[in-house]
Amino acid sequence: MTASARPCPTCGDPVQPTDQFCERCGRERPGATGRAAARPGGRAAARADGRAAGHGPDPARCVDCGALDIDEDGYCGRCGLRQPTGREHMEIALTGPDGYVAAAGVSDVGRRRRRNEDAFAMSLLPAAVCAVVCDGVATAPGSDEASRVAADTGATVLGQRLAAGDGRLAATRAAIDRAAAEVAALAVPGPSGSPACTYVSVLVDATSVTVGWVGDSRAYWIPFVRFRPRPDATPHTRADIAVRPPAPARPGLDGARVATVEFAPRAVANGQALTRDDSWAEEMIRSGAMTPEAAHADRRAHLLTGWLGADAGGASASVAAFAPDGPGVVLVCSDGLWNYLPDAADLAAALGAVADPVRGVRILLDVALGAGGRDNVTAVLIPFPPPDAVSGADAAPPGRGSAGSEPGSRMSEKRARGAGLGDDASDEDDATGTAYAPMPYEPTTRAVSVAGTRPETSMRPETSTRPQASTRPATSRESRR
Amino acid sequence: MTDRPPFTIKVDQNPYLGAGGQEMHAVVTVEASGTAPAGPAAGAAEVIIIDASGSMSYAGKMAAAKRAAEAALRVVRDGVRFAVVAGANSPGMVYPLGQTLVEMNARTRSEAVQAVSRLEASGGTAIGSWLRLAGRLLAGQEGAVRHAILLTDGKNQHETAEELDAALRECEGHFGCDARGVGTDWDVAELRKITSVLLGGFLDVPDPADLERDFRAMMKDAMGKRVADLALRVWTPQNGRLRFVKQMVPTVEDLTERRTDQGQIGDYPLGAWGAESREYHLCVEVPPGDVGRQGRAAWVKLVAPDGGEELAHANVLVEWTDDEGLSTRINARVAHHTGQSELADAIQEGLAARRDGDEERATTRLGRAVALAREVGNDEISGLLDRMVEVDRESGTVRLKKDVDVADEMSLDTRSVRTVRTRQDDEDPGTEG
Repeated sequence: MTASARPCPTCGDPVQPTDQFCERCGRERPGATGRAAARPGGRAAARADGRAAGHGPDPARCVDCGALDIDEDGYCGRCGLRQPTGREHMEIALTGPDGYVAAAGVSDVGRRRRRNEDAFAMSLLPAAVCAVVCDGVATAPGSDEASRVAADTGATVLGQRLAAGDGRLAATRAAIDRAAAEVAALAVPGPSGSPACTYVSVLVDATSVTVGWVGDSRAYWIPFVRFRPRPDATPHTRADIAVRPPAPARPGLDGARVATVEFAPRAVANGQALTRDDSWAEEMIRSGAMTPEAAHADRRAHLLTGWLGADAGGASASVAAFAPDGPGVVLVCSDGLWNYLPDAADLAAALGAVADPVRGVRILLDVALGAGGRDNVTAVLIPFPPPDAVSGADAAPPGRGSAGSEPGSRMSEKRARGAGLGDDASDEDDATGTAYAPMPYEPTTRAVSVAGTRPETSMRPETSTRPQASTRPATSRESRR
Repeated sequence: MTDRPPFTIKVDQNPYLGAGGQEMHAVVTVEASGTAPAGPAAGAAEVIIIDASGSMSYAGKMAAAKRAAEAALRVVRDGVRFAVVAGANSPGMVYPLGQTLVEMNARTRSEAVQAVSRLEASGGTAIGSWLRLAGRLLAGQEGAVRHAILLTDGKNQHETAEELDAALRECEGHFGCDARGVGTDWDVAELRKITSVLLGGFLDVPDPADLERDFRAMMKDAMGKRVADLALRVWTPQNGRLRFVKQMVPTVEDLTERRTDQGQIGDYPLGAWGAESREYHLCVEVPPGDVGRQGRAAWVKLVAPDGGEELAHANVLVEWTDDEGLSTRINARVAHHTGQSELADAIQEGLAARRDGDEERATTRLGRAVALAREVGNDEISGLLDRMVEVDRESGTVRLKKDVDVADEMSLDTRSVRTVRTRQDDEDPGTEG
């Protein structure tokens, strides 16, 4: 092999080291400086971070035979071993200021796929926790990168926008927009298709769960019916309260504020999905063309009608908010999990009495792997309500299941003001949701346009374009399930 | 910067091996996309070798050969350097008179056609010496597509087999050669060996009247070659080994022994390439791996001769699994080509046994060939086999026919290596999250 020209990873044409881009397909030469470095939160920096953080092995040396000969595709030049990327299995737990786990996530390659194209990112915010799960579209090359970029961008921007004073819905939308733009920027001209991924974000604060999504990754609300606290229990009731002693009261913490939260009156005994898939099956069900059973049994059921990517066409994102009526846990997951357990009640049953989110995500992963693990599996659990507001200033830095990212916290303004999230909910969408007031129970679904550079010509076959956002009726819970 | 057509390599395989498994098969499809520009490609140099031995004067063969050569000359593009050689006990220049190539233009074309028309048949057959002359003429044309067309009607009687082998060794890698055998007195095995070493094809032309059309088509094909001297470069893991590399489409051609070794990397010559697609069956022996291990069993690259520039590359993967549902699956293309390879062997062995009078073995092998030809859907070979054997539809048994036309037998032998492509029904997996 010549030392000079390296094959372009997209089209295989030789690319000279002096060239920035492949002459034939225009893909950026691997290792080329310029675009990646010029972009905020660039890939090069993120990758370096991930390795420095110990997510992947030494990139230069084969983990098996030790040869210093790993090529760009990740294979050893001596023994041929595919080097682990660090994404085969990832677990991350974020510990809240009270010492309890505020979020736990796991992502696993599963039993059938050769690479994990799922990614997740979680962030501990002042008085809130956010998480993003993205699932790379397997038929588009580079989608593992797309999901990683989208998850990192989403979690980072969500935190930034909240810190800058945006409301929950506005911040959720801004994060999707930015993630969509970043994924679209990964596209290269050529016939191979644009990197693409799904996206679902949750923002969990003391009163509400705000969800934004594109595609078929889901969020679920799973109430802890069995762990409903006694009337004299610690106010910020948590899933683990039954097995752990209550957290010591923190100085300056006005615990009573949380205790006075009025939750929405209607109980959800067995939980519910907080998202509605942008998928063929869901389109069929919604249009009344098929029964849910028939639609989900069809081989086209999983075809996406919305995704992030340069070829996303007229796809649009959905944003909804939900006010739980008691303690519980928010699950965010890719279809590698919910394919096996589509109903919230079954997910709740699988979790059973387990209160520890770290154990919880492992249990869910085991269920998916035990059932076949045909796809990548990603699950994030966030107990509700999250750790208290003021103590969020000491929050741990954001953790990301997608192997590193730029330093994400722009929480300094927030901390300086020492305010809880609810105090500055200035977004018009949150006008009715002033601090600690109950959110309307009906999820307010809003649709926003997601950056799509080629709205007219969708490259992805067999997908229908979703109706334009403005023409979609507001959805209600009854019509969702 | 280059007028090379864009190349792609596609790999069909089942990447899963069971625990302890070491044998990985893959079908590698190398394709140059068909939009070759009409402008001048890499330069081309062409030598037409016409058998002018005494036997050619019978049955109108010489007249047909002259018409065929003229037809071929009319297809050669202007600017191509060419020559016409007459073969006998020793080769002689037909056009030009000196031992050199000349550039094709209106004048040289008409002079060459004139010279061919004056060709007379006399003397014997010494193909090795003819090829040597072609090699001398084509020397110094490196970088161009160097090609010869050989027409013969007889066996290589006027030189020893060793002389022919020595000539082939001399010519190997210096030019490509396609051949045609006219009539029924030539030796199938001989032309197969010649065109195999010189990375070309050969066909039987039983009726001299068909020669003109055939030559025109052959020369058109030669003029369509745009890149010379390509090679398949295959990396295998340390302690691994490439068990075989066979071209499977358009014809069966075992390239295993043609390896130029560089340790873990070996180059296999592919010759010149036009707007076409060929398929290769690779079998790699990999060191056994633990269940769950993923790796690269082979890295296949298409390389150009000058500086080894990579034109395309693809991975043959391997993954060990304890799921027998995965590891026991056979890729359809691999199965198809395994069948076609066995078919070619069965025909050649069956015909050899028949010539040796071993009727039992001939019946067994040709019977197997009948079944395989049907299995892989090779209708041409099925039709030719029908002229050799009778199949009892009820019992499935095969009987050799008594009176077989020698032309049919030669045709079956010649065409035993011609394969058919798989019927590809790639299902689009759609867009799944």
